Amino acid sequence: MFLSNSSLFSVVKAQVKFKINAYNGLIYSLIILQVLGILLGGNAGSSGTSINSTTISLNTSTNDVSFILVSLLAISVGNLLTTKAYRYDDFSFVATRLSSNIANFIVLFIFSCFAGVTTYFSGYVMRLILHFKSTSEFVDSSSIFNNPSSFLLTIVAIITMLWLFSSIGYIAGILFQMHKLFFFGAVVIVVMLLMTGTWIRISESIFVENGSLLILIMKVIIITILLLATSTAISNRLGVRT
Amino acid sequence: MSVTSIALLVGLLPLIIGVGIVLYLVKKVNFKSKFRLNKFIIIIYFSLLIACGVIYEIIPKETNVEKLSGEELIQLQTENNSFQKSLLKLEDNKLNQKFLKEEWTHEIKGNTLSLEYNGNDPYSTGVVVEWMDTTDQKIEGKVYRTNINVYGLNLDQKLPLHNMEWTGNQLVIHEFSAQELTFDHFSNRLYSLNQILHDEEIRMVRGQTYIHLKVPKHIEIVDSLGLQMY
Repeated sequence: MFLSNSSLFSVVKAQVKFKINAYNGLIYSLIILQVLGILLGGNAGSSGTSINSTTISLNTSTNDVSFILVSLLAISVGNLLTTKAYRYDDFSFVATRLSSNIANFIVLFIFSCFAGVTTYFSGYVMRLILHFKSTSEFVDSSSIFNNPSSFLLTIVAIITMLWLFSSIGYIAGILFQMHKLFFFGAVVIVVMLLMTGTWIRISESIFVENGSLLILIMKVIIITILLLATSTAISNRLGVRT
Repeated sequence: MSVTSIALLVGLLPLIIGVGIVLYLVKKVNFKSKFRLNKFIIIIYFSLLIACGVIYEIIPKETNVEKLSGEELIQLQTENNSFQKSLLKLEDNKLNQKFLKEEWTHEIKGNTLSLEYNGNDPYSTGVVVEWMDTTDQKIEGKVYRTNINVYGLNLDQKLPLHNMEWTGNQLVIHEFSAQELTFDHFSNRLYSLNQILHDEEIRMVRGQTYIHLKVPKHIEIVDSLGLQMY
């Protein structure tokens, strides 16, 4: 019999609060990578052609470089949360493996939200610089005000993608923590799939064959939840603190 | 191992290098260090980014070129195709008059008309001849140019017209001098997501210059470059 009973919700809430405060140093890395993305990502795509003896070049600027760098950070952070040093933080609480996992997923989601919104808006810094610097003609592009749904969907897509990448890092980390062989086994399976072309077909059906961004978002969320559920199931077999 | 697989693996190399850099960076920064990142700095950074977004959206911008959607490009391509069909069938009444750029008449001496092209791309121009049952020496000409759109950018106003010049019995089509057009475009959507969604299936509508000549039947046409369309 205990003097107080903690619910799963209150334990998760306490763990999330603690983790958010403890790991906020990763914002440093995020800022560095986004600045790097702004510096490197002036032109995400450049197309050129010639018609009637006129050479036409179209430089499209997006924040893809920032997005790719932040995605790599998301994988690393997901992986990092499964390392012993970070898992041992959970022993400061009266918690279960389930509550720790849920807390980690929520923390990853919160960081993905912050990273997603800042990644999207980091593109505007680049735009402002180019707007005043470039001598080329500008092509009309949709703004937040005249196409708010596209703006919102893109931000949600970035957030869900980052959450997916962090969950990939998380499951990879869990496998590595269980046994190094499991991790390398998973890597071998992925490489084998790459060679057989199965991976390409799977990726195509998930990421390519989408009618709209909303469908892509839904698919990404489902995959992320599946990955996180699998990680939870696997991590239940992890040993206690040694 | 197939070529695609090798290309994929090689393509993954930069990603692996990128992962290495990020891992190094992550290790360098101790997330649990005693020095906590000041919330104030986070708020300033976040506010700065949002402010950049708001400033960019509200500053007045000179938009020079409108970008059309894939559906609009398909519409332009259809217009071009139906125009060419009608012109080749010599159906004057079905020709879209928005493509008409200039018209003229010219009287030639003798019974020969020669067509010449001055430039690098004679295929950008086609001459359609309509034989007229008349005995005079008058040649009527109409110059049309169909929609030219590259990457969704309407270039009709940006690209000069071919210049037609009469030298005696010779019609010389002069191509305009080479030029370079560069455009900057900001996309709210990620380029990689644009590719994933396949929403830009048609990227170019290559319009052509057509010269519709009404020529009396007794005049012979010398067309060494094969500019005539049938």
